[in-house]
Amino acid sequence: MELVDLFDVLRLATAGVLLLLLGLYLAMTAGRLDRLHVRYDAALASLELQFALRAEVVAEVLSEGFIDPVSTHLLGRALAARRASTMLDLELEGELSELLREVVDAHEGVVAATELQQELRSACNRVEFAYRFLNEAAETTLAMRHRFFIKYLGLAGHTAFPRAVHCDVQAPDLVG
Amino acid sequence: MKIGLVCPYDWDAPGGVQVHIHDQAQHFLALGHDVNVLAPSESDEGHPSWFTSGGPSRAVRYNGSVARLAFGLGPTRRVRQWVREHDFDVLHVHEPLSPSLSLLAVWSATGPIVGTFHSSMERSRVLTAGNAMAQTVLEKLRGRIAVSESARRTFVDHVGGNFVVIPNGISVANFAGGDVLPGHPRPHSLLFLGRINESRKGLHVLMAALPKVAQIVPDVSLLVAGPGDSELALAQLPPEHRHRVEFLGFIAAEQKAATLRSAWVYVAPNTGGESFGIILTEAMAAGAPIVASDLPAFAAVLDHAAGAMFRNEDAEDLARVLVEVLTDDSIRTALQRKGRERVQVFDWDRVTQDILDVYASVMTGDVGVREDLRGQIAGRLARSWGQ
Repeated sequence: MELVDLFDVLRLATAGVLLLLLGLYLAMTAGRLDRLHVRYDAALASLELQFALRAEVVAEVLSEGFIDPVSTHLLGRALAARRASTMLDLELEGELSELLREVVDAHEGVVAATELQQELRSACNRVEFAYRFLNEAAETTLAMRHRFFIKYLGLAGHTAFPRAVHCDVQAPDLVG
Repeated sequence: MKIGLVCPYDWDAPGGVQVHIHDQAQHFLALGHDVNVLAPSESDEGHPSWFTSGGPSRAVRYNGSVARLAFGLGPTRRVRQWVREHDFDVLHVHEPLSPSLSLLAVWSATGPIVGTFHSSMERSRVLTAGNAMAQTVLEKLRGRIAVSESARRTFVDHVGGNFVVIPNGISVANFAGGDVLPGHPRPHSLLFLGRINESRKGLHVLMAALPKVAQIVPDVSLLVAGPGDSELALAQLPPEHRHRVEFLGFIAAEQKAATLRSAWVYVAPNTGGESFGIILTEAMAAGAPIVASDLPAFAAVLDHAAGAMFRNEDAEDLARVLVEVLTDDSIRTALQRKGRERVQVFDWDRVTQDILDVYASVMTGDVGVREDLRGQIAGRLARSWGQ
């Protein structure tokens, strides 16, 4: 009689410890996942911001009048299309990257006075960096979301799946 | 901008990573940024105001070699305090997978964190990707920088992910102008720099090529700068050619620039083991025309154009390239000019700007670096201990 009780107590205790460990694991995993989502959101916001800042610098380059009228027209159109769209449009951003490269190349690497040229280089670099870091964050977060417990215990809640973005972000070859 | 830099290796010991962080901090300070460096150091005293000691490091065996690492309650407490007190806009940790202060810093902070991955050669000093701790660290980095293409490749294989490549900076101006060795540059003289008996440095390849060059360029000579046994090195050369070689012995860091400026042609016959090739950037900055082996790291630094390249470990090919460069002055001056253009990419001014661009791309305005308390019981204990 007494022996049976002891076994019951042991069994209960073991089950309790296991539950506690599982709970701890789940809590930690949920915390990690949350951190990854925060990082992804920050990276996405950063990319959008860097796209906007790049467009501003390009607009400044146009107003400075250093480059030829055809290039001004082409870049102006790309900027206008960008302004007309209310959401992040990767296709437009990619077209702008491509066009910028062509225009810079056609001007042998110099499209503005030194200071603005530097700003443009920075703006294009930042777009490229933010793009890479966003995809890095998306990949890591996605890999985590596909884990067994997260997938089937709903640890991610209703948070949308992060997605990698694809567009042309290669910086132009600016001299100086 | 308030920038926190973390160095995992002992600040009191010499090393490439320490020098890099020191120079980086100086350039940020010069631009008016608010910088603080955290690194292991024996004492709290005698440091400039932009430096904070993370406590002493301890020598431990790690993956078969002895490394000086900082860990334990003291450093953990200091890292947390440092993160709390400085209120950084961005935290930049070097070698974040090294099990020392860098790892503790990533562990203790949250927000815009950037990591620079340095060496592709000292893998024994970093954690592997399978390690749970490494995973956490990698997940918290918002931006990853590799210092060279080969370092990038190594770390992509090693831990995966997306890196941007920003090279180690050099101060071009320090190499570009100044003294030369008396009597130099001497026409048709070659310069070799490095340990003379270490086969990776490739002096034996150059020695084998020298007699072949002498057949066409009779007054060719060789200046050898670096520590080692000169008689052993000279034995590789037929006796009738030995008069061509002059040994300068060990060259102190201050003399390196003058030596490079004295080169008519600088030869880098390295056979392997180079992950970055910083010596080539220094040679370019000094205006030395370069002939180098076609190691991938060298090809990347020279961008396939700023130096003449020969097939690695092929003395025949080296002799052919040397004859070309020595007999045609227009090739030599073109190499010099292309080198000076190319090296701008490695100049600290450019590198600093690139790093600041990385910072900007991971910052989303308002939120800076905060102490991370989530799920970190040890950290909380350390904190209450400190108060």
